[in-house]
Amino acid sequence: MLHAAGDPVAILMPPDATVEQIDQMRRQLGLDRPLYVQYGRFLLRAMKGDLGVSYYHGVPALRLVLQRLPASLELVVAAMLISVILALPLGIWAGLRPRTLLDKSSLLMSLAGISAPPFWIGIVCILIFSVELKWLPSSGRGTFAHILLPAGSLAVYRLALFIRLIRAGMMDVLSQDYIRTARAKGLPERFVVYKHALKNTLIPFVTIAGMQMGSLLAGAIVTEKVFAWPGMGRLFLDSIGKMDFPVIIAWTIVTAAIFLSINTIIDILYVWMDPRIRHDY
Amino acid sequence: MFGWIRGFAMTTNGPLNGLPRARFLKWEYTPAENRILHTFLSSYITMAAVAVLILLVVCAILAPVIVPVDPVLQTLSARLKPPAWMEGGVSSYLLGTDRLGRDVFSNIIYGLRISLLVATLSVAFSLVIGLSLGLIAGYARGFWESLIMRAVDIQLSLPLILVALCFMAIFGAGLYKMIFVLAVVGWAEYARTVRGTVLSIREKEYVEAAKALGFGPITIMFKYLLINSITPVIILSAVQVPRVIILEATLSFLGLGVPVTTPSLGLSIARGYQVLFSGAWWASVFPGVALMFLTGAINVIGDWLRDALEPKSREAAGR
Repeated sequence: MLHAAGDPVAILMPPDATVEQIDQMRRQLGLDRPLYVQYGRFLLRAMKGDLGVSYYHGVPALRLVLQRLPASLELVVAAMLISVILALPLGIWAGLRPRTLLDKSSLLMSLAGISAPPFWIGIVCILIFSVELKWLPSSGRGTFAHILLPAGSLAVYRLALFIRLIRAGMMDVLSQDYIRTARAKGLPERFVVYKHALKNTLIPFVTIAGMQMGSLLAGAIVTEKVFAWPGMGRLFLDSIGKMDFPVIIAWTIVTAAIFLSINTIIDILYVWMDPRIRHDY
Repeated sequence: MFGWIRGFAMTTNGPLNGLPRARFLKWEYTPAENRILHTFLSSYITMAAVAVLILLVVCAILAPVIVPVDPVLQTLSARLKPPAWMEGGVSSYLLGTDRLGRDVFSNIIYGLRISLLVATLSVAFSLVIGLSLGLIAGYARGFWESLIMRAVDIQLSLPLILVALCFMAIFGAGLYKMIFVLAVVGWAEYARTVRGTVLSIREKEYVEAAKALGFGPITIMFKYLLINSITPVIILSAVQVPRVIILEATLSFLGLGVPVTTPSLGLSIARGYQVLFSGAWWASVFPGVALMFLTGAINVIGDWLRDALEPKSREAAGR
């Protein structure tokens, strides 16, 4: 793998470096050893939690990645909040009134949201809110205003997906027998919708929303690039450009760990929400 | 215009639906055909989507004929020209030019070509891989099934973009590398769907009967299991194609997709992104609009296909 994409030393060294300097650099990074020696050393060190030192930044790669983790998580959580908070009322509303104008327009909007490439949505947001209206900053991290554009554009796809999901779920649940029973009991409609129907709609929704957490993290890579957001994803993309392999490996391991924990949390949440599943374990 | 067909289609949708009846008119449709036609004709948005898709595909195929300017030609004297209808626009550059004087319109048309090429080839490859593995997993059961399905689980637990990104980072940019990578990351959904279908019909009487008659596993797989998997596979493909188109654009936007000399919608948007703050919005907006229309049209057609071919899912969704 290390030799597949090119030579990191050639990128690190200035163009006028001498052959001796290049060789010294290669020795210093351990890249002069055979591949199996490099791999063995990497495995031994990795078991002790040492994923190597970044070729470019000169600091431990794992620390570099973990430093960028909060920024990425901030972005993902903000995007998740935006999409869930907007999707719930819109989805419920559309699900309660199928085939009306509002339902149709929300479906059409969600179609556009699902079809447009996420990075392009980010660019259009920059054009509208930063370049034209000059309301919000287009890049960087810091104040509340900085997170609105990246989180908003990252949220668009999930928002569209969630609206469709909640709408379909609501319509499905509302046609069930227990809803008819609840209505026949004379419960107020508000109670039927929010207590009985919504609760049952939310069970599958939580699983899919949780799985979207992972894909949000992956989607954030591109958004971080568009908005120059100092997160893990941008570090990863920059490291690919510089062939900074220790950082790429550290990023991969951290991302895999995050995915594992997200999947575990969803499983636990799911069992907690729907006791019927417990019998399978 | 289609009223007579529609009116007729309605009559076959009555209470006798599904029962054997005399074909009293020669152009009577089977219930399945009737449903497909009926749902198609009753939805303007589906018809519009088909029209848009046909238009875009024809444009992509006829690209060398209709494109006014060579898409890679850099005309430094015509840098950042606005679209033709705006002040300062030139009629030969319909949608303006980018930072190096490349025609945006021509790049879009040629970019559609790359998008469609990548999407159809890689989806076709992942279909073949996933279909074969799904058939094997569903038919053979036991060890091979667990092996294949664990691989599917691992593949599906990671977002496509993440896997594709890592592969492209290792292999480097390239058109055929990307088709290969996208084919490899897309197989799992097909395998899962096909296995599910196979499991649901492998115990059916006609399959048992075929076994009893001495047909070999290959014949059974192709003649019964494969045929029954076609509908879900078509529906899945209508979801996978737009997904792969967006993935291709995203990878190319990041510089990890096609080489920079290839006209691609993702690369066009990336170039437009570089001149975003100089007011040249057309270089990034128009390629994205083209992408959105392409994937949007396929998404609508996919929704319609799912409703028409799998009426159960329509009832479940309440439509």
